Amino acid sequence: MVNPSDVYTFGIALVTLILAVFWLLIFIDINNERKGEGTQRTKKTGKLRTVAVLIPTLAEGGELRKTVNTALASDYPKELFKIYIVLNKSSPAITRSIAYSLRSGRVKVIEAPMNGKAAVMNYALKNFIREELLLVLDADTLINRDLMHKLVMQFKSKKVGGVVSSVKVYKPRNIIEYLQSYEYMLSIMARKAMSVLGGLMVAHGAGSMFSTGIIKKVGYFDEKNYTEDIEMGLRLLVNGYLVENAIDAVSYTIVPNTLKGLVRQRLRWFSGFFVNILKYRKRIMETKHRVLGLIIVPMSLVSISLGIVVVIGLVYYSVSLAVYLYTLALNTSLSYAFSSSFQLSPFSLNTIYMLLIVLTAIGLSSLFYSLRSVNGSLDAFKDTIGILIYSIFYSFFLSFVWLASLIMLSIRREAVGWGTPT
Amino acid sequence: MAIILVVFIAGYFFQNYKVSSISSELQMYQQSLEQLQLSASLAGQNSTVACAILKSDLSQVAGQVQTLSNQVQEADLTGSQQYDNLVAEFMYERIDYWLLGQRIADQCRGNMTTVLFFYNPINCNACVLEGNELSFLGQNYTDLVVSAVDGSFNMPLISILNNMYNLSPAKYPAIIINSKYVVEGFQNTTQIKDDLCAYTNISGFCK
Repeated sequence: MVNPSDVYTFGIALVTLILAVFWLLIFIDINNERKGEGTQRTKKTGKLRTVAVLIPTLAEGGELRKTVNTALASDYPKELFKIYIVLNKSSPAITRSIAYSLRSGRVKVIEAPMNGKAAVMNYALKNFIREELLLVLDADTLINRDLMHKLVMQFKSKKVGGVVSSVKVYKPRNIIEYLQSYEYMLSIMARKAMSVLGGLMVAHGAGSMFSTGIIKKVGYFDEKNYTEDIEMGLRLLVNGYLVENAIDAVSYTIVPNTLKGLVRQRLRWFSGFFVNILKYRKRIMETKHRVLGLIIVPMSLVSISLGIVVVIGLVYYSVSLAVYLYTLALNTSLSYAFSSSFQLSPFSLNTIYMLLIVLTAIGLSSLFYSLRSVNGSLDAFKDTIGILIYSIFYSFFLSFVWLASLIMLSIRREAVGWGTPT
Repeated sequence: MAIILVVFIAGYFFQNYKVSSISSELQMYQQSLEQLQLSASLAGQNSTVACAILKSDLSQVAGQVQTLSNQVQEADLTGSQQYDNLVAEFMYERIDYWLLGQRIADQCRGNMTTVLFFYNPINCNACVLEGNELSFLGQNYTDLVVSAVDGSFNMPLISILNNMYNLSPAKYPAIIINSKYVVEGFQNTTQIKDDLCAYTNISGFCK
């Protein structure tokens, strides 16, 4: 008779195998692309285009100065790009003061008469920006000198609506920031995979470049959406445009350094993901790029669902175990309860568990080498521990937040503003 | 694919190793039990020294039973003919152990109590809990001889025991005290102690 727990374990082993193969392929592809880009560096990409660096800001302080300075330090021809700092209506005096202190011939300050990131960006686009390409930077994003060049290079056809950079965590200090740094590295590879398939749907606001003309054609940024970056990526795809990925175009962002801040940010992002998928559900299936509707979106939803199912299962199992241990300890002793419940014996090892262990080891190894190819270098000891902690704890934490965002959306359906399905 | 094949091959060989390991453990246990049966036969009625030795040997055999029981449970090779045969053989030996314990208890007259625990390994959380509590009591009180039987196991001897004590899987967990007294349903440690003290007088926890 088939044991349900063996079926469950076999399922996990199969998923682990698929992930191990997936990461290996990504690793190989990233390395091939790096070699290819190295040989193509001298090839001309055609005429360089004008770039508007758009920095919407609300209440950033010193970070804004750093962001502008890294943009000014870019090796892109100075006459071909201009920086636009867009202030919200309710930006505080100190932010205004810093913004105006940065004003120069190459840095323009715009005072938007409204609040909201998407709204102020649209205001700048409609009234001030004439450049061909638009680089959106959050006011706490730092970019490498060659980012602009590398992003511009990806606009190889008129179909390219946006190009996404590789965003990493800026100087992580505590464990929360370090775990996010692994998450960001994994996201770089996930975006790489999606762009290879032709279904990259997230154009993050920390260093994504867009074709200004195409942005205008598809109707500017959605001002009612609090994850306008995800929404724009999807909107470009369903309108038949491409979103590319420049893996070597690196930007850095400052991430939440507290658990509370992290949870709030992730709730917003994850809720935004669901809202946007629902908003475009019909268009996703109709789009000519079938990859989005048949592979990318279903895979994303399946992996999120699996994570939620595993988390629910873990919670149920943990609670059951805790109740059992408590009852046993109450009637016997604490040490006996633990020793009888957690007996490690080689006899409990069967083929399925052995397969799971081996595949997990392969998966973690290929993940490690893939992350190294993205990051350039990894500390063998420190980052192995970090990746293990990430895999064991942080990934489950994210699944909890996915579940929480789903529940939050279900409860607050009307308050979120679902918009009209398009 | 090669790695998966290697793992499956290793799994197959490890499975065979588990069966042979349990088999040799079972043989050793059977030898210990036979020696103890012989000792019990040679010892006189109510000989204090002999009873002390028999009790001590019984405790050692109890340890072997526990180890073997853990191995059989963890191996879980249901479906393998060899494994199923080993489980059946082990079930016989557990009943044999219980009968021997009862015999020694009768020979030594008092201060020893036997408990035969009936459980169902499937969908019986109470069985798991009571089994652990009985094991705890058995480890801490040498005058208590505990043996466990999977009452749902398809074996004539177990059917006979079920009939003798009017038991069925629906009534598990159940304990038989000194081959006479039947207590059905879940009992925690305190309740088990109360039940044991109601029918016997074990030194250490009966007031």
